[in-house]
Amino acid sequence: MRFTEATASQLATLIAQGEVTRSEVLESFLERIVAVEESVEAFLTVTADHGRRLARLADKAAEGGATPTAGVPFALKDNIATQDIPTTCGSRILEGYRPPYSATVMQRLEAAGHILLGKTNCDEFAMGSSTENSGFHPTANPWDLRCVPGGSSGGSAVAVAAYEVPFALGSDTGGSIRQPASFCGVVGLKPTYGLVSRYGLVAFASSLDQIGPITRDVTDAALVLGAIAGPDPLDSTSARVKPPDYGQALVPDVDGLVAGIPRELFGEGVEPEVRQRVEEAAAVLAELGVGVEECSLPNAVFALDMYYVIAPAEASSNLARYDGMRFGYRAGAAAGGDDVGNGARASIGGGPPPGDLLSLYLSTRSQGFGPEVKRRIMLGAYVLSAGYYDAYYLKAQKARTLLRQDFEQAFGRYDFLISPTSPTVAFPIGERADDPLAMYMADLCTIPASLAGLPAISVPCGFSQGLPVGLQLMGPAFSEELLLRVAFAHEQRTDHHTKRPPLLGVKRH
Amino acid sequence: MAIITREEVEHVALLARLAFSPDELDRFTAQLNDILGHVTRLGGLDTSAVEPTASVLSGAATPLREDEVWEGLTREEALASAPATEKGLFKVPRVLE
Repeated sequence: MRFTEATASQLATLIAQGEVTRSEVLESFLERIVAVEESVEAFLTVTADHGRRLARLADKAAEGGATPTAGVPFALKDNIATQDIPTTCGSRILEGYRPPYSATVMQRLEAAGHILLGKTNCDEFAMGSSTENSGFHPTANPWDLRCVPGGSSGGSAVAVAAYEVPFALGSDTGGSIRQPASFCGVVGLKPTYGLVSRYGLVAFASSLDQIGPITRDVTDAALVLGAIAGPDPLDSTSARVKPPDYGQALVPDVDGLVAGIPRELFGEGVEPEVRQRVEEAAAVLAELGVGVEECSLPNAVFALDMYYVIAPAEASSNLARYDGMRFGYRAGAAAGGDDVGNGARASIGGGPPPGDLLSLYLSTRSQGFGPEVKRRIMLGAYVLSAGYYDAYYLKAQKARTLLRQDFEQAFGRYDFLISPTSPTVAFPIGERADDPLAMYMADLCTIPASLAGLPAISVPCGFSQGLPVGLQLMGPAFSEELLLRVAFAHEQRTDHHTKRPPLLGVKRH
Repeated sequence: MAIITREEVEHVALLARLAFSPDELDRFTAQLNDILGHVTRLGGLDTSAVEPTASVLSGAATPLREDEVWEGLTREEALASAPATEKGLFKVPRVLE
């Protein structure tokens, strides 16, 4: 049997029953990584030695009669801190940075016995919708290597879609888990804001960022969410809500539920075939007894505008910390210091260190950040600057309240909402790289739930021109059980999630 | 009409501790105007009777923890990733003359 074909929950069972060792499972995924990584380039770091060591130890402990641990390999987006393992956020400014601590999600997955197999590529500091903004290399979509995998968690989505790992974690600020999951034909869940600890997630927009699972089926999404959810004293925005057993949600019973399709997320810009696939998915749910009606989120048409004020504003503040003083890249550092630390070396600019503090800040940040990160810092600094704060930032925060009220009203009548995850399927690498606004449109349907802090899941719902289409389900705060139940019911009635990517095409660089 | 001028972009760049070449300044000015042109649509929304949302969480859901002393990073750990250190401290350019 090829273990790479098995899902995380199947592997956990096989390992627990002693049918296979953790080392055997790990090796089969490492072989797969060697075979396909050249084509897709999903990873920034593969932690083979680390994984092998943990697998061996756990196998030995199990032989000795210890309580069996899960032992399923996984990958983390590279903006999730892993102690002593490079964590770059896809940015040259953090090249070679090894955090002195691990994120809570990493600690929880390891405590459950899962084994880190690598860190995945992403748009720099999670800013982007195609993974092309990585400071290191682009990642290719396994369904067509000429296309982007979506982003920013493109590496995590590809690692799962190309069977390099059974599951991965991504982070979602405006759609960065759901949109790449949609583009790559896998399941991506953005939990309610506050359900999963953000401790150790490198901050982009703190009022929006959430960590969540990317998996090949809904059962695994429930399994992984259960492993990472729950209160954390190290994150002040972690809600003191005890998560339920999400496995209990996996029953295909949705009879009597009522779903709304917000027309604002189904309008212009949604490709006809994407619309068709989502309508077919809605029809499947209707056959299962769900009442489906058109509805309205009137302020959702302004969601993109709110997002591109609020997210850059928070980012400009969060990214002020990259000043070349305590960690990360410092312009000219390799040529300068007496006692150079173990941090990032000067691999970008080189040359002698600038003499004064201001020049050092300017060269460090200008050499270390890529163009999209600079664009967002500039936008954020502008909308927060004296004279513009009320017109942009405060206005956007007030509009955000209106959007939240729209959702509240909708959930007074509907149990959940349906939309496409992305208005289009994956687009060719390079197509939108020079047009920031066109790139931002890729998140049109995912941003509303982000702004309202609501949970949303993307599940495969078919294909358009050979590329996967994603169905998005959105629910009220902390309704993950309901979303998993609906997604599971849909999955039971369809076979989209069983389709395998061909890894065809020639990758463009 | 431009919403943000090239001079303003230059000023904001300094505030954000970024430096741009003349070419980059032109490109950023054009792109920021495109994006800001889009987001100014927000001005058309009536928000006169609305409180701003700073966080979607209520304070009740996220109470503060007890003020207890916890173990933090050791000096060694804190300095391990620094670009330059000296005598157990971060080494930075001279700030005071």
